[in-house]
Amino acid sequence: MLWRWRRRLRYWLHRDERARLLREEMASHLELKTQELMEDGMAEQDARNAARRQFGNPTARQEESRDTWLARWLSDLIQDTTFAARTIRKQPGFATLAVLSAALGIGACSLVFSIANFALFHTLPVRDPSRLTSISNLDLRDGRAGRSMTYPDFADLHQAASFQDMTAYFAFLPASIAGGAEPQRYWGTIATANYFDVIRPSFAIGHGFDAASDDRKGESPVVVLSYPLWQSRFAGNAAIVGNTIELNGLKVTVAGVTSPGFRGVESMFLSDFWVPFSMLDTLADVGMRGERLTDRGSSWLSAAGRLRDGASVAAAAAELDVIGRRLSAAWPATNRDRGFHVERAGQLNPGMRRMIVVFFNLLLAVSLLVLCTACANVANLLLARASARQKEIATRLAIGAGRGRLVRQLLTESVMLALMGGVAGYAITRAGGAAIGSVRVPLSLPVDFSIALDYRVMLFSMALAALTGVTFGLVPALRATRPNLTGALKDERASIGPWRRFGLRNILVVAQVAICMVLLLCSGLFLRSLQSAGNIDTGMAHRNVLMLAFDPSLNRYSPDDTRRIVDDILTRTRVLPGVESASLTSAAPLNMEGTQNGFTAGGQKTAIIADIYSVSPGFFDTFGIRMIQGEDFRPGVPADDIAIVNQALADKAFPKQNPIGRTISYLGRTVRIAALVATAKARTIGEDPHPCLYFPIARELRGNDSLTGITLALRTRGNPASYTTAVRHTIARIDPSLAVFDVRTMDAQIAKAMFLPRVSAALFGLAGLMGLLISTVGIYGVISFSVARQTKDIGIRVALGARRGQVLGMVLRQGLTLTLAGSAIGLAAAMALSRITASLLYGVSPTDTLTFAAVPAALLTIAAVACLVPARRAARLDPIRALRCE
Amino acid sequence: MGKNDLLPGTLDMMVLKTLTRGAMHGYAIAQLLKQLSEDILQVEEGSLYPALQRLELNGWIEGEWGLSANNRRARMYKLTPAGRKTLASETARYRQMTGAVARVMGMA
Repeated sequence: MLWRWRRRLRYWLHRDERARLLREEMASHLELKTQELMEDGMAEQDARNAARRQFGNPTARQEESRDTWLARWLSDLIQDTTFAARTIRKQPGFATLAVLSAALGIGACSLVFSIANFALFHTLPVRDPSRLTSISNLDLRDGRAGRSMTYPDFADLHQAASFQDMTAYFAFLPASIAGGAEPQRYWGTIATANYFDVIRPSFAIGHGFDAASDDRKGESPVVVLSYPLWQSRFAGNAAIVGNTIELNGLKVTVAGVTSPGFRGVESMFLSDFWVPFSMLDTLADVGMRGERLTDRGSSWLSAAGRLRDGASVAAAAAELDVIGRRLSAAWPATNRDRGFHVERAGQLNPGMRRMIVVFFNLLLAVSLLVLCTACANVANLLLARASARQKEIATRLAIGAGRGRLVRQLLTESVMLALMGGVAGYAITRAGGAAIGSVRVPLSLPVDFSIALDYRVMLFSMALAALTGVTFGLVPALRATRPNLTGALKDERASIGPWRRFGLRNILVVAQVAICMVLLLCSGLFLRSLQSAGNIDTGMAHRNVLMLAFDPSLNRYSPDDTRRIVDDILTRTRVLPGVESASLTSAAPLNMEGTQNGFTAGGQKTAIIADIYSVSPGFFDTFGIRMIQGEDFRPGVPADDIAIVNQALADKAFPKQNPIGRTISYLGRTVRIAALVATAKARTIGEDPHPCLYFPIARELRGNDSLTGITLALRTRGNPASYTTAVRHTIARIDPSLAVFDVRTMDAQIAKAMFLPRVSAALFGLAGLMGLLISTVGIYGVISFSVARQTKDIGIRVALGARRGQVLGMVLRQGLTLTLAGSAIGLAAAMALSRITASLLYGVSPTDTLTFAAVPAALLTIAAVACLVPARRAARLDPIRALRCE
Repeated sequence: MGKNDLLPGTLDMMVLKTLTRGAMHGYAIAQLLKQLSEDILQVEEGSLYPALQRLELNGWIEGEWGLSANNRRARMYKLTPAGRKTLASETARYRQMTGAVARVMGMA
């Protein structure tokens, strides 16, 4: 079979030569025939004619012969492609518009696909990833999986027969690592000793933990570094393996460095290093003391298991189910509603997946809308062009071209345009992916959003392009080749009608305008939301505040040492020249994190949830939070039993009463309220007033277990960022081994807190802009085309005495009717959608009057301008030339 | 082929058959076909050429430029071993077929 194709290709490649020889062969045949007939006594001319008659049509035979060299469809395809390329090149303006429209639509959709691709098909860079599973707790009450697990549960699951082996780990372990330079905080994983034998990543140098070692204490401390940490902290020095580094001030032997791609099993949280469970007690006091290995109540672990040969995920799930039920029966107090969930490792955490799916659906809806308007545009452009080429097409139909053949040719052109759009769209996707990857989410945990584009995204873009080309090329192609020869040949356009109210092109434009209206209204709302978020009163004076964090617990200081160091830092930075006020807090405001807990007010039974802060004296001063009543904490006075509350808490717990002096019950303690402060934004900029409870930090310093450590805040004169070096130096003089992290000004923090409104505004703004651009082109195209088609009609009107203004008005009316119809539909749709958008807006009603007035006005104006250009062209028409041109 | 009132494939088979007599050029094949069929098969002579291209492409015949009897440049075709094999199987198939048709028509 292959050799036949090779020969076919060879014939086809030498087709010109072969065609010449075939012609020669046929000519010689005719010559021989003629001679023979003349020998029989025929006159030369008669003989020649008779020979030809006998032979048949030589051209047709040649065509037929050619077909045998290469399949007809292939040679037609090549012909169509060259023809399409030529037509596209001849009309660069049209091609640019079409390609650009398609590119924007395809790019938007591919970008969304690439995000889904990243979430769905992410494979871990480990050996045999298909057998690696992640195991989590399943809450049987709400069916949510992805929760963390207790160590005793893990130890019981470990026996499951479906697995070769199973490991448990905690991926959010902070540690300060000093590698020659100033210590810095990193995030790592603490795992069972068999972690690397279960996960099986490859190593750049060295190896993982010794799987034979014990998870209990008493083993010599080791660490495995990630490739980026090794490069940045230790300059990629290979001699480090087998030597010790300092981790939280503890000497730890480096066992190995993982290969560059491996950053742990969690799909979005990156690990910088890995340490074994045996270091649990010695490493750090981050609230993970030894009893966590026996406590059935404390869930903190993630687990991963490697399936045995032949064991399926479903079988493993069934087995875990049985174990889960047995555990529920044995430990009803803790395990009553607890099941287990198993799935292929490397996927998004099931708890997170929900959130991502919502966001993803929104994105998908927006990008599909953009693609629809883009496709409508391409279809409209093609329709316009097909009508312009009606005569050419009619001529070809008249001289016998098959309709199918013509449709195919027109389709080739639209698919080619769409594929060019696909290539450009892929470029847009790449740029967009890079932009998303560079987004820093305002969390202090290292979160990875880098989206890799692989062949799947490429395939998706191209498939989408081909589909776009066929779908939106087919209708115009079928319409263009509709046999209506006589009219078209006579250049008679009246057969179609100058202004068909429900013509396909008009419907497309109305749909386009409607979609554009929805997108623009959304982007308007999100811009307004961004604006109002910017104007939100945070309840703080956020100018000139510098914040930085440190975590003495990482260095395993005793409570006394901790208190001494923290006091030192506070007193010495407070006296730095230019510093007006300095204070400490357990969590920086607007950090999206922090502790929440319930308390009960005197007499009430139901608990009220409040944000819990531990702050030093001067905190409200530093952040400019107004003290309404009462007194701030006093330095040096141990006051375990007092708290300061904000107005929101007072309103909720003691409506219409003076809260000062009243008591609340918190974690079994009775706490007296010493002061009342104004309500400030606590976690996010868009939140409703939150109840907040402020405790003296002196108490918490005995055992801080907040992941973000302690934040030092300074109110400065002048630019707060310029104080960074001085503050860092001061801290380094007090304790050079203390890692300082998350240095930022309060202004920067607020800018980060605007992340969500900003992202949604940018997203919808972009989509709205694209929609507007595309629809403007669409309206302009349709009106220009309709003017061109009505040239004769307009000419007659002008000749009969119509004034320029009337002609202008007539054309404008056509365009604006379409726009108004589309706008009305779009407005109605946006109203219907307002309930969905409401949840994403800050301080703006989903039917915001300003937006709903300004956007339609703007759209109509732009549409009017788009119509004005062809309308003026129509008004300036010279009646004589107009009538003659037909 | 479609325009000739022949059963599909029969022209190819007949060309192969004529070439069993030795190498010959297109015109000679046409003449021979006409003679052998005693002028009953009215084949457009031109349709021979696509058939020749097809057969050559399939590797059943081989064409080579040479001189005809009256010293004109002509393309001489000869049967290849693969062509012989095809002819044999085609002939068998054809016999079966005509036999079947004849039986249906009640002429067998």
